[in-house]
Amino acid sequence: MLRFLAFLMFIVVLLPIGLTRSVFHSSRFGRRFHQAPTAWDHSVNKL
Amino acid sequence: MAIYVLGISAFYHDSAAALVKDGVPVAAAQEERFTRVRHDPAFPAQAIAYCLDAEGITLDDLEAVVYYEDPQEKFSRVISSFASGGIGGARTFINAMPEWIRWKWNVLKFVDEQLEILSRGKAPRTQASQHHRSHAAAAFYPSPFKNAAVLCIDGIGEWHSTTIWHGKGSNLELKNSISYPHSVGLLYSAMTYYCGFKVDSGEYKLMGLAPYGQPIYADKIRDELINIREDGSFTLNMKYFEYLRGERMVGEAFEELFGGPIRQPESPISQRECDLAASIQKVTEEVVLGLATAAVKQTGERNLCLAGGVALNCVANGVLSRSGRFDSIWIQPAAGDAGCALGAALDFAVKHSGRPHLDGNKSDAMSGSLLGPGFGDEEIAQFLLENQYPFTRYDDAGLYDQVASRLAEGAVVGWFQGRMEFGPRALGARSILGDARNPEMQRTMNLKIKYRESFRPFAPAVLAEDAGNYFDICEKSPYMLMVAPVTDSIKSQQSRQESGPERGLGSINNIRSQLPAVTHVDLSARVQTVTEENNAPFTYLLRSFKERTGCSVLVNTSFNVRGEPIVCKPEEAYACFMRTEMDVLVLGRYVLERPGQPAFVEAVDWRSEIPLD
Ligand SMILES: [Fe+2]
Repeated sequence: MLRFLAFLMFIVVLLPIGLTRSVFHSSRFGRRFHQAPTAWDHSVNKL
Repeated sequence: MAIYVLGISAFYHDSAAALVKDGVPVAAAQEERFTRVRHDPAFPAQAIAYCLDAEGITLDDLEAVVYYEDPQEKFSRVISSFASGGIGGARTFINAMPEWIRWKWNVLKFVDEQLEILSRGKAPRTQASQHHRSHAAAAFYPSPFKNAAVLCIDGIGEWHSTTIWHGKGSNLELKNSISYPHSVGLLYSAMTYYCGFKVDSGEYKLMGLAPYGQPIYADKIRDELINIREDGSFTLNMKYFEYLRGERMVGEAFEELFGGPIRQPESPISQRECDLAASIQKVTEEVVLGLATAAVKQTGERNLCLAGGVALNCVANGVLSRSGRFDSIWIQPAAGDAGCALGAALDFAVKHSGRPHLDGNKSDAMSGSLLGPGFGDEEIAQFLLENQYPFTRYDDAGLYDQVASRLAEGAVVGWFQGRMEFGPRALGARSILGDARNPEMQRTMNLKIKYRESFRPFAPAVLAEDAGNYFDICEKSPYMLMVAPVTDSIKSQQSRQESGPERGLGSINNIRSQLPAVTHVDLSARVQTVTEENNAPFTYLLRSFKERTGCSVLVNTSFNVRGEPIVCKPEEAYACFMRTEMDVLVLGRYVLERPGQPAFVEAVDWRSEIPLD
C-alpha cells in the first residue's frame, strides 16, 4: 500500500516538478544555477 | 542543581549520544564502540545508557533531549532530490518512501519510543536541532575562542552542505550557506566511490592515496565537475552525478569523463587511482581554503572553528593552518556526524543558560575528547584474575618506565588507559604504540597487527613542547587533525635532495626521515601534539620514552584490527591483543606480556566475523 502511494506520488507530484525544473532551469539543480555568479544562499554583497 | 542535556545523532552513520552538564561535555560515545558494528547507524541505546551511568542519572534528570537534525527539512530535501533526479530514481524512491512515511519523517516520536524502551525513567520529549547548527555548536562552544568564524563542511545535512556562522560568546549566528545538491563532501565521496572505496568511510583511504599521485585530473575536475567562484562559493555540474536518485554516486557520465570504469572494490590499486586521489585532494584544498577565507571575510573574525566530515581531511586542515590567513584554528575532534550529538546538546544548553566560562588554564572544553567509558584498576584486576591472565602490576613511575623500555626495545604495545576517546581518532586512551624511529615498525604494525599492507602511514604522537623539533607545525594539533611536513633536520639525505623521495605505490616502507614509521611519501605526517592537560598518562609515557631514547615521538594507531571499531572494554583489548601479534598489553597499571598468556581460542575466527574495511 505504502509503495503504491509512493509510486503515485512519484508520478503525480515529483515527475512534473522535475520536468518543470528541467525545462525552465529554475532550480539550484539546473545548469543556470551552476553558471550563476555566486552559489551562496545569501548574496555576499549584502553582508 | 546541575542541568543535563542529552544529544542524539542516529540513523545515518556513526550514531552517537552525548551528555552536557551545565554547558560542559561530560560524556559522549559512538554506538559502534558498544555494539561492535562499525559505523553503526542504529538508535544509540547503549551510548545513551553509558552517558546516563557516567553521571549516575536517569532520563528523569534531563532538562532536554535534542536530536541532531530536523527530520521534516531533511524529508523535503529527499523529495526535492528525487524530483530532480528524474524517472531513473523511481525504483529507489518507491523502496525508500515506506520507511520515511512509517517513522523517518517523524523520527522524534520514534526516538521518544526508543527512550521509553530503555526503562531508565521518563525523558522529556525529544526536540530537533538542525544538522549544521549541531556541527557549528560542536565546533564553537567547546573551542577556546570567545568569538570566531565557524565553518562547517560536510556531505549533506538537511539542505545545507556548507555553512558559515559567526560565533560570539553564547551566540551562533548563521551568516551564509551553500545548499544541496552542491556539496564538496559529496564531490569527495563521489570520487571515493569512483575509486572503488566505500562512501562515508573510504574517504580516508583516498586522502592517504593522494601523496602517491600527481594531480593530473585537477584541471578536468575544475573545468567539468565544480565551478569555484572568487567569493569562495561553488556548485557542482549535476550532469556528472547520480546521487539525486539515491542509488549510486556516479555513473556513465563520470566514467566517460575520466576515461575508465568505476574501480571494483578489492581490485588492485593503480597509479590512476593515486592520480585521481591527488587531483580531488588538490581541488578540495582549494575549495576549503576559499570557504575558510570567505568565513573570515563574512564574519570579520580571524579565529576559525571547523566541523563537518570534511574537517576530518587533515591534509586540507594543514593547508589552512599554513596559509597564514587565520590567527588560530580549532577543530572539533568528533567533526563528523557523531559530533552532532554533542553539538545538539551544547546548542540547547548554551541557549538555556549561556556558555560556561572556560577555565583559564584549559585549552578547550573537550577534556582531551576523553569522554567515553573508563575502567578503574579494580575492574581491570577483576577481569584479569577471573580469567587467570598473567600480569604484572606497576606503580605510576614504574609503569611508564617499563612501557617506555619495552617500546625502545621495539615492542608493539597495546595502550589502554582511562576514558575512551570520542571521535574517530585514537588519542592515547585506546591506542597501539610503537617506536617511530624503528624502520621496521610500519611493516610490523601493518602485517602483524592491522593485517593489511597499507598505503597509509601511521600517525605520530609527540610531546607538544617538542613538536617543532620534528614537524613544521604552526599550531597545536591535540586531536590528530593536522598534517604537517617533517622538518628538514630529520629528513633523510635522499629526501633532502632536490629530486625528493620516491613516491610510487609500494614505496611506503622506504626510509624518508629519522621517523620512518610516521613519515608519508610526501614527507608529511598526521601529527598529534600531546599535553598533560589533554592526556596525562600518555604525556608521562612520552616523557619517559624521551628520557630513555632522546626521542619524544611514538607511533599512535587505533587499538583495533582492520574493519573493527576501536576497542572499548578491557576484554575487547585483550581479545585484540591475542588476535594479533602485539607484544605487550597495558591495561591501566597492569602490564601483560604475550609469552605466558594462555592459548586464546575463539569459537569463530574473527577474520570471518569482521568484514574488510
Ligand atoms: Fe554532517
